[in-house]
Amino acid sequence: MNGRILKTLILKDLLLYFRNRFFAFVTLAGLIIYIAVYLVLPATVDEALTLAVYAPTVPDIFLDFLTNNDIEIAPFETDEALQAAIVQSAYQAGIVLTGDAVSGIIRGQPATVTVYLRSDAPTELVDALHVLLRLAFNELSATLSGSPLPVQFSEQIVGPDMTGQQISLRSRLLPLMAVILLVMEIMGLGSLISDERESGMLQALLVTPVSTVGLFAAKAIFGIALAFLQATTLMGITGNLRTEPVLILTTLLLASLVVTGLAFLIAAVSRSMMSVMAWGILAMIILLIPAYGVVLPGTVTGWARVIPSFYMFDTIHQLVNLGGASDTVTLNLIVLLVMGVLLMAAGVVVMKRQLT
Amino acid sequence: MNLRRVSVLFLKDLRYGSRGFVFIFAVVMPLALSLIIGILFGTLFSEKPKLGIVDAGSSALVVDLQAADFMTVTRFESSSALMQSLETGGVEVGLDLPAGFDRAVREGAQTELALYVWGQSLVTNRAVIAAAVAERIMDLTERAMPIEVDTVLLGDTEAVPWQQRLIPLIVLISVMFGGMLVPATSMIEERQRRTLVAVTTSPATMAEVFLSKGLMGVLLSVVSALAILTLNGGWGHNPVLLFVVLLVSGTFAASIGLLMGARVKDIQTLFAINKSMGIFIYAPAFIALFPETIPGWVARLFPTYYVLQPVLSISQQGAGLPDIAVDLLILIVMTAVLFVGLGFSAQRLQVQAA
Repeated sequence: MNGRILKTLILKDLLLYFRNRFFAFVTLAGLIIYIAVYLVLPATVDEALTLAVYAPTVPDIFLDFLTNNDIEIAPFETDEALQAAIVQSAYQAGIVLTGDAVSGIIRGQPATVTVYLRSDAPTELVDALHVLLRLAFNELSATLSGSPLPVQFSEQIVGPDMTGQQISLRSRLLPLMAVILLVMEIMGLGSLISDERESGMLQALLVTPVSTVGLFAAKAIFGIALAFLQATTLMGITGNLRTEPVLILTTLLLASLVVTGLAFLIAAVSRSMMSVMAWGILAMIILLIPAYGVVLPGTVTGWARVIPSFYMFDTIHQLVNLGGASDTVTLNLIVLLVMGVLLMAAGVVVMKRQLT
Repeated sequence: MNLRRVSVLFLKDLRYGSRGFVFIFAVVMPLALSLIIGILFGTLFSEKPKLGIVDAGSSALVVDLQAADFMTVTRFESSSALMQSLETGGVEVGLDLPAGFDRAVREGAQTELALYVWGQSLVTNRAVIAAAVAERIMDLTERAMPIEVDTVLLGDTEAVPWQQRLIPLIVLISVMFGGMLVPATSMIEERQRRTLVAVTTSPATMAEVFLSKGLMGVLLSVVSALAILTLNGGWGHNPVLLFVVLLVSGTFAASIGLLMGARVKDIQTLFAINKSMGIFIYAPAFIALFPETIPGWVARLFPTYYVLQPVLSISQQGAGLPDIAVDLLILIVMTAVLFVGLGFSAQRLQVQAA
């Protein structure tokens, strides 16, 4: 294999790829849009319940109690100011603790606590806060009157406790964005190869000093490099290459190998760009299924492990969001390598048979 | 203009074009999108806390908890199944109720319950579930809860669920996507294969070709929109008016598609243009997602607002002709302007073919 020929073939592929305006647009716009979406989405999860409180005569024990029940308190000077803050959505809810209400709670006598919410608050939120606050004030009342409620909870955490460091939506979406960028390459590269075969360019190249091995090697290198470069750019610009960069780059490289192999297979069964799009979208739908398990935890069961992209999503999610290291992702990387090599080999064999 | 030739061309397009990827995609995509949005925002994206329960002794607590509308309660057959779901986040909090739990609570014994908490669950969700469980236990013990909470709603805005906010987007996609793309791709493919030249060397004129392909777009647009509206709240009280509005909207979409098909060089460029125009085409629907943030008049700056608004007004708000007359008139004027452009394009292509 001549290095100069290989370089020429890769440059030719690069030129032809970006000559297709649709894929050129999708490649560049997709990357920019995903980076923009990531940067615009909030970096943290606000999991605290902060309540505005107007309480002219509230004892400190009340505030201590509420704070101990995972509720943060923002005091207000007047009822009007409290209502204005709720209408402006500054807080989810506001509580008015009048002297009568405080007195009733302390003595364990009937009393009513007023809670303000915005009128467009979802019914579920209104009901949930009602239950939460009703129980909290009754528990406080029972404790103060010396007969605590006859139930105690002991919390046992399953998995790493992420309290205070919850995974933000943008971090959950990151593996999805990276894999979508990779998967889009299936269509781009597939279309490139399919067009070249249908126009006779591949056959024409084979009557030159270019060998079949060289031809496929150039396409594989181009496909892997393009996919890898995009995914790496996304991870780099979004600042997700700071921890375990070698493992993340290895994952992206192996994932690029998998999608390039799939692109070869799709190109082999397609006759035009439309045909590549049809097969590509089908492949994309299947490959994105495991992403639901990351974005919407608990929605995907064990069978998703048969889909190659599961190992892409899971590895990136483990490394970027859950602080995983080599011991947690080694098996995933081996599976990705095996799948990548098998798909690549299958793609090359099918393409070669078609050409000869 | 010969209607018999137009119908022959139309039936030919319907017969062969309907097997193509774009046609199938245009039919399936809005329906699939509607279904996915229904599933995602109906259940999966709901932010309700998720509680899982294993009940060894038919506790009344489970029935009470399942009746709560602010959380999702799932029953599990065994502790291991519950733990498996907890490990993947299928439920956020797990409750393993022992046999005889209700009796023990009613007898006044101090009860300690283990709450298994998924580490990635939100603190507020944990608190809400714990409060709901504790409140139901209080009900079981028939212990008085003297402190009541009076909820007062402030302001005059109403909650609009995400599923409802997304209806304009699905409706707009159903009207515009197939209506534009099918005539456009059909024109480009015929130009590239030179079958357009072959057809116009017969007695058929370019205007008749345009009309047959436009009718295909209109048909797809109307059928797709009616299907989507059926799935999302019905046609409203005035189906005849809705049908008329959809016909005009479909004509508008098909006219844009035909203009692109007549001007754009190849499919790749068409898809690239379609992608880059997407933000302008669907802008009114995106604006409708955030009614509190973006003023409604901004949507009026986009032509597709006049496609979307009459359809939504009739189907979702029961509007009549006087309510939508101005918007419909603007849509008709825009479509007429596109017709003028189509006339020039047809003439140009006829000359090129000759």
